[in-house]
Amino acid sequence: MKTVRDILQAKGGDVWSIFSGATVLDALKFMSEKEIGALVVKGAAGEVAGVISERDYARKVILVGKSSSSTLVEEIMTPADRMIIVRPENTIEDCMDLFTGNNIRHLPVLDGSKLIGMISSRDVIKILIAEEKNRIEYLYDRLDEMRQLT
Amino acid sequence: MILVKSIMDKKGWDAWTISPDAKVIDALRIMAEKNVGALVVIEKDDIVGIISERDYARKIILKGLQSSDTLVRDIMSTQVYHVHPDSTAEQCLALITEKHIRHLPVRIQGKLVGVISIGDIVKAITADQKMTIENLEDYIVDKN
Repeated sequence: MKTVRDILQAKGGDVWSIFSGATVLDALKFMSEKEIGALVVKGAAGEVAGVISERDYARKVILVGKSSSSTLVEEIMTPADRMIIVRPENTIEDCMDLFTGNNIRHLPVLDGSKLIGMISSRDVIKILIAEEKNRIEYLYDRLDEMRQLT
Repeated sequence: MILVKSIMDKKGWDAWTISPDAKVIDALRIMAEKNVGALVVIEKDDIVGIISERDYARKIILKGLQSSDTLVRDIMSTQVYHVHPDSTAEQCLALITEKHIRHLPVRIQGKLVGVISIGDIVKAITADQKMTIENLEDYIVDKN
């Protein structure tokens, strides 16, 4: 059974975050640069303060008459107390349940209070595809074995 | 084996669309209203593109444009990958992964009948527990 720790090890990559006092425009630039769709937000003391996504931007800025250059990340992020996260020992099934149940695409990974990565629904799908291929190969091998016995 | 049509039967055969000559801000309003992340762009009954939250996040403010005076056709993706109701969830996942997209229009003989998203597929897999050895065994027996 694959865990979040396994997924992070397989995908590698860096852990990105943005300061809660940065502008939404800064967050967009950073997300574009790193080719990601969500970013963990950190407060002044380096603590995890929330998470901001493309959807927050699409829903909460222009449609309410704001602008990205004059709106701070902390104004549109999902704050830490409402953030959905996972831990290294959570399973891939836990991740899928959380994506589905909360209509989200990203799960920050916390080890204690330390941010160690982010899991996206795309990361999970890659694992499912790889696992299915492995299982199919495994079953074909079993079938071959069975044929050799008959 | 999960087919697109069984996922669509559960989630609904809605397809939210927009004209390529609409403003990007109109697309955002519809996406917010329908709580979706993308709209299929239709011109005279033809699918000419797809516009998503990602297109908005990457191609407006960062390019010095404004959503109130930019047209959907200026930022939509014109390379549209679609599936059929008889396509499998696995085929959808392959397209989603390879092409780095989140939404797939569903078509029957060129006509748009719905949209399936990465979220819909994850939900179907979770609910159905189809990725099990038992079902793959059936799949392999059928194939032989």
